[in-house]
Amino acid sequence: MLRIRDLHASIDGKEILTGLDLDLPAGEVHAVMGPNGAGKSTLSNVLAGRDGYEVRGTATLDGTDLLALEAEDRATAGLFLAFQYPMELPGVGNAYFLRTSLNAIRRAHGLDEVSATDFLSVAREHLTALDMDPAFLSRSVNEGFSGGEKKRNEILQMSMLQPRLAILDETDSGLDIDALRIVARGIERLRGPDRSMLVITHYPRLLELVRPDRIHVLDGGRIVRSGGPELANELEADGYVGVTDRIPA
Amino acid sequence: MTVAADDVMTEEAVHARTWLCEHGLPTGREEDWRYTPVTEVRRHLDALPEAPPRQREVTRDDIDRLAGQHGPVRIVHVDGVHVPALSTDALPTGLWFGTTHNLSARVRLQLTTPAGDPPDGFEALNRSASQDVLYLLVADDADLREPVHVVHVSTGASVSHPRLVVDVGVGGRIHLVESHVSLDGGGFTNASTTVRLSARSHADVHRVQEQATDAVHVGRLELHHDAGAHASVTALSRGGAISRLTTVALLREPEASCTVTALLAPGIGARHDDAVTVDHLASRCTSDLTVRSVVPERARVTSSGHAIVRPDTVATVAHQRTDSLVLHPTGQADSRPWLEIFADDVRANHGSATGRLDDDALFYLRSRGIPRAEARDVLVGAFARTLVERIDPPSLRDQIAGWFGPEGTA
Ligand SMILES: Nc1ncnc2c1ncn2[C@@H]1O[C@H](COP(=O)(O)OP(=O)(O)OP(=O)(O)O)[C@@H](O)[C@H]1O
Ligand SMILES: [Mg+2]
Repeated sequence: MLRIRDLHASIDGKEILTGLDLDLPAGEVHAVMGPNGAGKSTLSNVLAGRDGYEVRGTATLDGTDLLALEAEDRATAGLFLAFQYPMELPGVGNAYFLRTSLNAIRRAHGLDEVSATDFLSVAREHLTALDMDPAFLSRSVNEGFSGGEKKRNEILQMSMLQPRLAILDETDSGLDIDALRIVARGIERLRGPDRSMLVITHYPRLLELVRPDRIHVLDGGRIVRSGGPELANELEADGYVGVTDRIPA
Repeated sequence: MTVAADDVMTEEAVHARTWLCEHGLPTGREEDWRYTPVTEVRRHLDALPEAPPRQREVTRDDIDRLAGQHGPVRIVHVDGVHVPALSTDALPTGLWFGTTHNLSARVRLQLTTPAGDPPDGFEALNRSASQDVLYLLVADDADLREPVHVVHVSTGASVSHPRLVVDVGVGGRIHLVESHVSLDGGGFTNASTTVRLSARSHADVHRVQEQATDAVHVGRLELHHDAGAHASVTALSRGGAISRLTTVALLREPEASCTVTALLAPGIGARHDDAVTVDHLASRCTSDLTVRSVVPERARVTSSGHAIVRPDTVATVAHQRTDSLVLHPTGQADSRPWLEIFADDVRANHGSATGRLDDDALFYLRSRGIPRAEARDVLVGAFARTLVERIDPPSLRDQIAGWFGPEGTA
């Protein structure tokens, strides 16, 4: 599914990703952990196609060269990024945003657009599943949303857009206990043989709810260690310093 | 004494013509006209015939298509001449409509207020050259909530001077939608509307300028407030290679108020100049000006807000806010607040901001599969939305929302 080789990314002459390799097979959920400033969000942004990075190396999604595509084309190719800090869009209604997005992706796949009424009934189902107040649909995108509400709104988008590859950048940060469960459920519901997920997190708690197939440690702009779910406990016990120290340079 | 209607008008027209001969059109050196490309406006004016060489016939379908349908009453002016065949016959009680040629004695009495010197050459030209002035009278206490839609059509490459006078009786209320449209390009419209608001009356004016992209539009909207009168003006402009709108509110008696909202969306390379003056001549008057402009490639928008607070007035409130969204590095937006305050008891403020499209917001939309151009439209629509949302009637709101994409962003 996702294959990354020797990925480098710099911004303003500063190299942040320093030769990153990662394989994420179809149907699997992988977690990425790593200290603050390690480059986790940079990896997400580079994969999603944010401007401003100087990028080298390869990243393919089902064989398609992601790095050659515009951001919107990566989305229609099935990539979804749940942002660490979702943007506020004053004046853009949340329902309108979601429907425009859904229809843009459907159009790109030669499907008919969904009508406003059909959209609303589908959106309501997803809202209920995420225990979100339908009032969120009529508000401006993320404007005045609490931190946790913004994260839930990202999961709402993800569950409606049904991406093939979802990258969740610290979606669990700032969530209360119930919201964490809801988000975990949203992730679990999306899990399937055709989908993959890259879950960036600082907390083992989410990884107990969503058992990842593998865990990677990102430090200094590359993956420095990979292992099974048990790696989370090791990290919790020894910290990043303890875990990465044991790795030969 | 009976005076023929034509004589009444001739007097105003003659006076305006004499004034015009003495003073001429603005040159661009006047403070009020510094930001309008007056030389180009005058060149355009000189190059065009007064009347269209062969007027194209305008149909009801044309009006529906160009101006929309915004109320049960529609009055159509083609190249400055009233066309009864395209206008509504039946008027609601409390509303009287007439033109220069059919003024009744009752109306004439109300209109014999001497107009005085024209404030500028374009207004003088309008007064002296308009052939068919439209008059709308609202009876005392008449509550006309359904919009009265006045449509001015320019049929093509000629000059027209549409003129509208609205008189709202004591405690009366009118909702006026004034549309300026073009059947063909290349025209010059020099329009003037005066709204006289008697005590405690209320006027809601939506002025829509949607003329051809190569047209030149000079417009004036003048409001005269008596005590406790309120006017709410919404100016929506997008047509024209050059468009200048002067809005003047004279709050002549206590407790008069007005809100003026302008949404300017010029086309590529166009010049829009929006000049608003509110003169607080009495105590406890309030005004609130909000301007938003969307400035594309090579376009230039100037928005001036001139607030005057006269000596010996108290408890005045005067607010101004201008926001511009510049879509391209070659677009330019200028905002020029001008406060002349000669009293102490005044709450006045002004603010302005010019911004560009937010790259992060664009990326967020694109990361959801929305193509760049559509993402831009969504953000522009969102910027305009707070003003568009307030537009009434809904038919007009939808029409204006359409300026910013196929549908609203709500
Ligand atoms: N626009 C930028 N200009 C300069 N440095 C940047 C820029 N964006 C990110 N960086 C730097 O790149 C490094 C990696 O940042 P990134 O946001 O990817 O870290 P992260 O692993 O997501 O951290 P966190 O766990 O705190 O979210 C940091 O040192 C950060 O300061
Ligand atoms: Mg981060």
